[in-house]
Amino acid sequence: MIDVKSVSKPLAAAAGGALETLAVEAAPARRTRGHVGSATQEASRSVRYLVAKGKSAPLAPSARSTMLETVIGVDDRVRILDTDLAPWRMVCALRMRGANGAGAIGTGWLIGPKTVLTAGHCVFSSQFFGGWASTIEVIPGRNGSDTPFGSVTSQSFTSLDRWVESEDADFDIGCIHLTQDIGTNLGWFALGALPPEQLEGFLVNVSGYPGDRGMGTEQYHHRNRVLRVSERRVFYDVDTFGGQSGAPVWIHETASSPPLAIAIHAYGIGGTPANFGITANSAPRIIPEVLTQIETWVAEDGGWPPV
Amino acid sequence: MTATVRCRGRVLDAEGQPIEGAVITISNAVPEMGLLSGDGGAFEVLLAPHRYRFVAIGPGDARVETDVDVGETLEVVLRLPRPR
Repeated sequence: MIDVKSVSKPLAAAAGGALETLAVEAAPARRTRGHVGSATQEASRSVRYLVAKGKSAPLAPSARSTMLETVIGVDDRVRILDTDLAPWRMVCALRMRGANGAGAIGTGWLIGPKTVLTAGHCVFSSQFFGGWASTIEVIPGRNGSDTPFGSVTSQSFTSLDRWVESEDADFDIGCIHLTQDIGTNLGWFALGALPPEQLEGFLVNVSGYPGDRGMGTEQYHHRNRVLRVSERRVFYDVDTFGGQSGAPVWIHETASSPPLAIAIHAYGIGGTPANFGITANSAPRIIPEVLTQIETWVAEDGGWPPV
Repeated sequence: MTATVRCRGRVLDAEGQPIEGAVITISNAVPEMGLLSGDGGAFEVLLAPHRYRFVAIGPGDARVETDVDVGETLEVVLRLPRPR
């Protein structure tokens, strides 16, 4: 059992003050409920043809080139065009701006009416921003120059203490807090803290905004099998690229189950330990302790509506 | 904690003019974030001394990539080809 705490971006008026922390009790594995959104219920054809569900048999080992990039072998990513439909509209293109003036792109996804989950380094990065991001523009369901649901800009972010204090890749998780409710209309992902043995063999889906396609304005999806699950990370052969940091990694437990997000995409193949002997991209998992913290973040934004 | 160095770069078009808003990714053990070039095509990042692959993507998905030994080199110029 581990102890994780929340760290908030200091408010402008409190700049230089101590960081706020919240003590968190560890929790057993569990799920939260998703919401499909009140916008059109039209079924996405992309979901029917692209989204992988359930588990797969072990894959035969294949010869793969060792590339520094994260498109592994053949580029299998597919552009999503019906981004105004669920679940794609819950996936948001991010435009970050650091206090040092640096700009960057990433991906986030709705987990509540006013809460967006992303990678920790999209909200706090000594490497890219010299600390906290100053503003993040959230653009749900962006499709090139078309922004079907507009955009909202936030200056309120939180992350985990282990990310802010040591940028530990296992805790590379961040949260963007919105002042307006966009999730009730667009929907949000369910979250699952599943034990490692339960994740083995699942087909995972990753959808986000890679920088090498439309300069981060077009949503791309790929899916493949989980290759390995460690205590805090999940590793998969899913093609991604810079800009997809923070994208949802989700499964469907059965053919009829709704999407269940189990991790936050953050790392290319350079983030996979060499001794694993696999070529894989990876994401910090939503472990029970992290899920407890995420629930607190959603509650601070007003919470989920009662069922 | 590993010591880091400040690496500066610029993204230029085929004519040598700065490109603002180009996406830059840096592969190899760094998070999958895309930086955006700012005024004068400039960008900046803190990196541990190591060999990295810098990739810049410009309008029309024009792309250039180069391997850089950060530590020996602290300035990177990425010149994009003409969009296809």
